[in-house]
Amino acid sequence: MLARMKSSLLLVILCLSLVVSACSASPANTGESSSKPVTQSGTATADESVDLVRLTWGDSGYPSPFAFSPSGPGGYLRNSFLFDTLTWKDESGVIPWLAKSWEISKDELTYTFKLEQDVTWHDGKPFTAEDVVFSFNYYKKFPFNWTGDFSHIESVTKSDDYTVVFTIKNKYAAFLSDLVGIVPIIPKHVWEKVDKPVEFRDDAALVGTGPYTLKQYDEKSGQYLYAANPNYFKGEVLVKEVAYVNSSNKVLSLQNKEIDAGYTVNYSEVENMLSQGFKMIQSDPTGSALRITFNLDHPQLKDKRLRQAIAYALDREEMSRKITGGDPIVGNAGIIPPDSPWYNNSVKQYEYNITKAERILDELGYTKNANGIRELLKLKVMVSSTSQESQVMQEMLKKVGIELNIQQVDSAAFTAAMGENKYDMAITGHIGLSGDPDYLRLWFMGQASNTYAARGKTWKNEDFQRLAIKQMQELDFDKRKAIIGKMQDILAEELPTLVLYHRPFYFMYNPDVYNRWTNTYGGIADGIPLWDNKVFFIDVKK
Amino acid sequence: MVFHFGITRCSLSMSKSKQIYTYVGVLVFVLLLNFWLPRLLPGGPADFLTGGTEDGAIFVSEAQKEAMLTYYNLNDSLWVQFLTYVKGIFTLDFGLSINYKTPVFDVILVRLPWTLLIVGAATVLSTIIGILIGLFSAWRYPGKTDRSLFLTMLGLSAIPEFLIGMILLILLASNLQWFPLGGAETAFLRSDYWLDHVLDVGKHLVLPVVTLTIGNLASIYLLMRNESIRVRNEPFIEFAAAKGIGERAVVRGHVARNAALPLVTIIVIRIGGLLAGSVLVETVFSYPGIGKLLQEAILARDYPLLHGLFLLLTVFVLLLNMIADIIYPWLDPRIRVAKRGDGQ
Amino acid sequence: MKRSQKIGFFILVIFVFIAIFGPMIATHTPFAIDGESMAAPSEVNWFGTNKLGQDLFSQFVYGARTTLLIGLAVALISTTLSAILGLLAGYSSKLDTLLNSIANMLMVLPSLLLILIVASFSGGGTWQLIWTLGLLTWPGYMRLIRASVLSLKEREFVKAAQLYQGNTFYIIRKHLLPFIWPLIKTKFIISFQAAVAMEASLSFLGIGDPNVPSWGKMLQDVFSQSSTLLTDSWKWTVVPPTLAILFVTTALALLGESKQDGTITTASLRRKKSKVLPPVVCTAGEVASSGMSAISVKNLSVVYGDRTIIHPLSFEVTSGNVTALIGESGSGKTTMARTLYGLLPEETVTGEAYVAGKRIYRGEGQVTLQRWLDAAYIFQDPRSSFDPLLKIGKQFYEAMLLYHTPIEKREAAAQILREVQLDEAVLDCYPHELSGGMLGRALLALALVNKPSVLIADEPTSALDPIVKREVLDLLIKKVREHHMTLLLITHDLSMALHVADEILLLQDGHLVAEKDKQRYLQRYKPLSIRQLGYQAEKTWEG
Repeated sequence: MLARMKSSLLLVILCLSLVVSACSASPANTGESSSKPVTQSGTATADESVDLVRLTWGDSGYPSPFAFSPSGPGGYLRNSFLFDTLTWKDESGVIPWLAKSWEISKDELTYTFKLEQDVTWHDGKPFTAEDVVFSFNYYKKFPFNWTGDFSHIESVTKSDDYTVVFTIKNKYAAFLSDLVGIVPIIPKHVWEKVDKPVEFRDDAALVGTGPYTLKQYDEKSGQYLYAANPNYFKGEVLVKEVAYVNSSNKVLSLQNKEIDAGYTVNYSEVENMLSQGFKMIQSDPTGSALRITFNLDHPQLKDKRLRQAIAYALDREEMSRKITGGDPIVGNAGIIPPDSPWYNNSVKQYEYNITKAERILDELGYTKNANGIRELLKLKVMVSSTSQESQVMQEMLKKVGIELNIQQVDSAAFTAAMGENKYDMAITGHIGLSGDPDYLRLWFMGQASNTYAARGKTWKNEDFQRLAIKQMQELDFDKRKAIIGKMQDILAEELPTLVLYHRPFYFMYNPDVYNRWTNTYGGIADGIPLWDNKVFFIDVKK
Repeated sequence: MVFHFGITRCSLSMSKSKQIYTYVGVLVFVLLLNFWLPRLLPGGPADFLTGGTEDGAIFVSEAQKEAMLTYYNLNDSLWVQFLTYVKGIFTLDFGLSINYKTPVFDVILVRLPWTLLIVGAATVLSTIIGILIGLFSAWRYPGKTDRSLFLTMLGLSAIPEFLIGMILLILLASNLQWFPLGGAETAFLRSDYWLDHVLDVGKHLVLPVVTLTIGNLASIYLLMRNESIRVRNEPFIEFAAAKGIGERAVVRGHVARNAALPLVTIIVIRIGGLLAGSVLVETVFSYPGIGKLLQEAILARDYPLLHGLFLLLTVFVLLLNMIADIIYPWLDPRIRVAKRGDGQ
Repeated sequence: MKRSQKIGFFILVIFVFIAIFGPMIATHTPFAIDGESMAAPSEVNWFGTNKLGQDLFSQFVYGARTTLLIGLAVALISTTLSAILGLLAGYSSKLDTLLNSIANMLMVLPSLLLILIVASFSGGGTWQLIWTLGLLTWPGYMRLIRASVLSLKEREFVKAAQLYQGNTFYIIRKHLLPFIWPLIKTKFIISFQAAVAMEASLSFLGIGDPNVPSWGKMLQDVFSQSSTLLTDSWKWTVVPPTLAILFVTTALALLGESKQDGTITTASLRRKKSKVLPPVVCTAGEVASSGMSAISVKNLSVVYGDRTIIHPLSFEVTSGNVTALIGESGSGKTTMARTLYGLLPEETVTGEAYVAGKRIYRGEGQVTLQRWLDAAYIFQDPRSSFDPLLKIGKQFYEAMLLYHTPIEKREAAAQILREVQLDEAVLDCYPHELSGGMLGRALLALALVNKPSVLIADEPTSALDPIVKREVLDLLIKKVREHHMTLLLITHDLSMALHVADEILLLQDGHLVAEKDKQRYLQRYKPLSIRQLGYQAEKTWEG
């Protein structure tokens, strides 16, 4: 416990990184707050251990670091039960994990990690700095399946068996959370002999340091059964077994006690379950968004006034209420969710205002004909699965005379069309907005080959680009927040994308089975707003 | 209610060599289609993986994407890919599934038994029940029993399978909770008794099998009934009746055999269609199987997996056709002898 | 139209009305989102609303339009292709090979797989869907139509038309189309129904045009939310589209019911097995009524619907006699024979008939004719009388009620076969392995196997060639005399009748010709037949 406090202190004093920023963002979280998890874990006794918790998710592939399915967060989370990272996150933000402490050099380009010393791999071999160095070098050769931008790393070296030094090419604010907090450390003695890691299916492929070992993988249904690691270095694993069941209908399965917890985005389902004695936690901060991406090369949509008119014409509050059923969180024109510490509360917003929308459209020369239709303005919106948002949009835009056609294509065709700029507007939904705000840079600077940003394309806005680089290299929270605030202003004015609404995830669980579910501050790893964070299955002693 | 009599008769009347040509032709055609059709679809495997799911997006760095494309030889020219593919056909090695990162063969093998289980059970059940009711109906023809059976089945044959499944799901699984909502077995059932596991699989089997059975029952009934009525009008049936052997013996000993014979071909051939058609039932009951795998493979543009599945299904259908061609003469003494005669 | 077809048609008409007029009375547009979420049916929203607050009645009626449009369009495309390609393939042997191979490929490939791929490829718009379904579903009926054209081409009238250089189009339109029209009609209805079902299934899988409401999409909307099964909302969200799909597909199935051909001239198969009964002690009355007659007919008439085949008639056949029943084709003699053996539906027969003292129709218990024991019946064509799939032996044993063990049966059967100069080995043969003459004898042996007192033979030799015919007939007469049986021989061959019969009955247009007229008739034809050297030369009434 002392070590835990020491590391917290270290964090506060030494690094001016995200953890601190997170702390200062929520005032209740300074100083004494770091003792909160301590007291919580202090009360946790062996009595709190639970034999089995059943959760639900679809097939996420074989959970080795090279074979899990990168589509959706399931694969990464399944992997995180077996493998550990240098840092991890809990309800307070970034916490030490395999690294018990770290120092950052003055120029903010060198990170020195002190590693835990009594960690063993599942096969009994000791874990050392050699494994960390090996892992990062191995991932350079065989890319890791999930996020984590290795291009920032200049070198990884060990100075002794339990000290690793990372040198990075440029200042990188999200280094602790979005790089070493994501990349799992793999055992050198296993992987050094493997030259086809994707195909590697030996039992050794799942040897990690994590709190669980995989007891059974039901490949045909994509179901997993994890068993607790009795020698876990972080403390006793309270949930002795975790099962991931592939359920077609989460709510019904929960109600029938086939599973013990599950999430939904539909509030009416939550109400139903609450009335049956289930408990619920809401993702906080929301961390997810549904948004329209505008094709900025489209002859009509390249005019920002049209994009603004569309923003005014959409009653996004109503849309959110209809679709999610809960209290609506209207999308921030500057993308960052309003409940995020990075939110700029003075950013320009587009309230629902038909008159304004109509005036702009008229000014742009899209006049209405006798039937109230603006004949010159026929737009298409592309969706990758059945999308209620697109239907609502179609109806709302009809009111201002814009005819909207919905194109429904499958996911791969959707991504291809985005890449080839063969679309007018596209609706996308995604999570991760509660993590490090560096995603704004990744989205609009062509850094991410990702549907939800313009793939491989840079948003040609010089001010924004300059600020994006600047924030990445700024480790001071307040200064960084100011920069990110300005970025939100630009985004809100230019509207390359319009967030329709932020969608909270609701986690419903049976409190009689397991009751220690907690929000992960900023989301697990790079901002996954889910609750099956391994840290909450462990009675953390350090 | 599609009657394929014309077709079977045609295929029967075809000479052996012509049949082989057809099989080889279809196989070659399918193998070509198998390679080119998925590649005609917009977007590739990389697009699917980077597309993420509705639960969330992922960032894939260019390095990761590049590594993936290289790994699956998707950066090679189409012709090189085609050659690799042709080689794969002969070695039965299509490589790793892009989505599952497991050899295609294994991915299919894990799911195939489950589809075979429900399709097999449904085929057996629907065939037996369909033939029995069809026979019964023809026996009571003309009459009220036959007419009402016929109309019921005619209606039933028209209902889309997913609708039957959904109705059963709502009534029996959701409302009455007699059966599980879906899946092939209770996840990680803890029991040392093999019987518990068998019962568990059985319980999960009921609704999908019933749905598939109902979906197929009607058409087999209709075929059997119409064929039985046709046979019933044959002089030898009236003669058998004239022999005073009793209605049961006439129906069992003469009508049944003569009417069921032409159906064998049709039923065997239908199994192939059922295999691919199981996607709807598998979706409704989230049953792990080939149908759903196929749909996912199309969505994911999982070329290697698509190749494997496509080939499996086609070979299966062709094999069934061949089996039908082989067993028909074996069942019919007239053709059997004619063939023997040809050989001498 | 049958009643069921009428019902189908009626349901369909209702839905056509819904599709045409429904949208006119709908108070909301199908996708308008102005209602309460998940509202139960009310005055405002007749079918309630879905989660987005869209009016389900409006979606339902607009959905009817989509569904019927897709069904109609697919049926049109697919049927047109089937018909045109079928005609082409049947008419031109060059095209035939090509079209047939294409059809083969399309039929071997799992169609759902193709549809899934093409639908993902084409993006799932309504018209893409229509073309996909239309282009993939023609082969089945194309081959049926082709087969039927091929057989029609061989028919005289088409050949004649070709001979007179009628142009192909004219021949197709005038001579072929009328014959393949029923096929086309059935194909159209089946395609329609399959398209409706397929559209719903595909929408359910998430493949469909999101801009157009359809029933399948309504269901997909509902089932994509887990709350559907938690609350009562399924009653208004699930039930209407489900019922609509059910009704439309079922109605089309009823409408497309193919005609069951053949009028019903055979009795129901529902008849108990014959039993070996102790000899009946006849009461005085019954003896009086049947007397020494083996066959006794009183006021018997047969009516099919409004067509009278046999007008009321009465006659007796003396026990131990060979009686010939003669008459022209269509005079009702076969019907008469079948009536006497109880092979006609009971409701078509009035009057009374007794064979071997047993009542044929409306008899009870012991007084009913025990087939094959009291009397036996020999059909016209021995080849079609035997079940082609069973060995001769088996067909003997099942009728041999006087014997019990298989060995007894085999011995007795062999014995009776020897009587008709056939080898025992015949028992192990399938019917097609024997010649016509052998089958004729086997049939005779089979008729004798239970030693019935009466034998009815309906043109027993007409399917045989002349020499064999004589042998078989001689054998028949010989055996009948040997066993002291009564034979009723139905024939159109007067010379044959004169040659073998003790007595002759003449039927004309369902009437029994009176004795006086009969004699005149026989006198007129007797010299003719004698001049033609007996019955060997076929002298038919028609000839």
